[in-house]
Amino acid sequence: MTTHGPDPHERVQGHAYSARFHLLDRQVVAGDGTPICKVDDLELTGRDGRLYATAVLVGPAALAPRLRGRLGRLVAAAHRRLVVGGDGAPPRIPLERVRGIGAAVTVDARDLRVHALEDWCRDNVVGRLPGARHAAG
Amino acid sequence: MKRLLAVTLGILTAIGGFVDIGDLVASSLVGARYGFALVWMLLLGLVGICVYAEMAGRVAAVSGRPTFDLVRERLGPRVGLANLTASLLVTLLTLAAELAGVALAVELVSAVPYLLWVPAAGLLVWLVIWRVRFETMERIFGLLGLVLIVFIVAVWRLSPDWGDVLHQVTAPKVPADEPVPTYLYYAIALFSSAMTPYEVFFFSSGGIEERWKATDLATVRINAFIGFPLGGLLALAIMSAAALVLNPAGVSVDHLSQVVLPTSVALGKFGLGLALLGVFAATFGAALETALSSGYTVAQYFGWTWGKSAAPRRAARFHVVVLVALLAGTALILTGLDPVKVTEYSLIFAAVALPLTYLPILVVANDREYMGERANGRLANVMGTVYLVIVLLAAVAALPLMFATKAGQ
Repeated sequence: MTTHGPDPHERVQGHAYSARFHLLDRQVVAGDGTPICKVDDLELTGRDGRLYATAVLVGPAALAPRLRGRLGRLVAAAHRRLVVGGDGAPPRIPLERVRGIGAAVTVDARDLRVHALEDWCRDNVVGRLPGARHAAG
Repeated sequence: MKRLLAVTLGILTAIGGFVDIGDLVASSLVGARYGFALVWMLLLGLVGICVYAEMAGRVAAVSGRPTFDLVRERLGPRVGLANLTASLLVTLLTLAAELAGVALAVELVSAVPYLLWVPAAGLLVWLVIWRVRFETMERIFGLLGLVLIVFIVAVWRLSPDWGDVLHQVTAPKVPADEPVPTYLYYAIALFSSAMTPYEVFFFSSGGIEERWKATDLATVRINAFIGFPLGGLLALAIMSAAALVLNPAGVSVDHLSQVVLPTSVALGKFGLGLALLGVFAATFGAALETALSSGYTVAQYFGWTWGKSAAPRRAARFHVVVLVALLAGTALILTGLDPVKVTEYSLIFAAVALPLTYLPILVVANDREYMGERANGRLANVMGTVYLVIVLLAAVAALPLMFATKAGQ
């Protein structure tokens, strides 16, 4: 639970969440407030003739189509060339993990791995520099 | 006591953020060329940054969201990315100019060419970011930057005819031999030096690094309403010193040595030494802020983990961006580009990028779902809207004026 902003549980009854306004492009944070990712896109699943948001999609593969036009194609192309293996589908965070929607979207981040680039930067660049394990504060 | 220490964030942002290479160059240049005829613009910019820094700080404290989070959220990914690209380019140019400022200050003391000091300055900035605590970093450079008060002493020692100065300030006239477009061009550069976007990026992100909560609003306001005007006072002193010494002598500012020249005329070697120390502290502090701001903006646009308070391993991409920004800034200055020109261009480009940064702040500061009771009051909205219009005008006029005046010639 973040300690910031209005309490998400206090949302007025019958006041619906708008996917575009409350979810898309919001910051996703872990329970302790650590930034995780953005809601780059939403996975929608059709059931009984209605669409339900079922997962938060993360990363350039999810963001590129939303950038539209030449820019979107450029990001998508750059991303494809950097990905090895897999089907190129963006990492997803199932909506069951979402704990609150407020100024940020709080998720249960245990064992969540959505960052290939973060892992690469940590293992190959930052982690190799002396003092990378110590917080400067 | 704790409150007193907290104010140092404001003082650092005031000294290293308000007075940075942009203010040093713009204030001094304008003072030397136009005397006191553009003081009004400095004051206009000063009020503007107070209004928006308070707003950005309040949003950060209440909702926990830094400025660039809001930019992407309210402008969408596409326009947000355009803003990111523009802001990042401007911040990089500014970072490069700050590094040159640090190196030039050392050159003026040591007589060793500044280009040799640039890599050392870049490395030192990185080491401070990597190892020094956020609060310690602020205090050291914030307090050291206060040495720039020497410019206020210098103005006082030059004992101008205050009545005459007041008249020049209140009834500004474009000098007879100066074209009006050039006057406006420098007016925009001066305005932009006060309202540089990286100041709100740093102010809001720094607040989150310091774990501001809604209960810290007093701190936010003390910082914005005392810290920034204090920085503005120093910029005003730098401009006045130039107006009193350089303007009558017909000296134009195209090197950092001319910025500090008035202190040596008024106070001799000792004054010059202090001024150089102040320039060093202010540019070094601002180099830290701009390098961190590069990381903040990119990380906040893409939603990455960011912050210099945690172990660097835990925010690897953020630290890679900071590192790359420092390398790029260092490399740019090592090409031998004129640091004063780099500063001028960074100010003009910043003017173009301003509206896309300030609009989302104003919108979110009014959103009760984020802000609850702490949403903007009427005064903040009136001031915010007025400044958004001014910022828009400056953004539209900046580039045409740059081309029309051949960048202020």
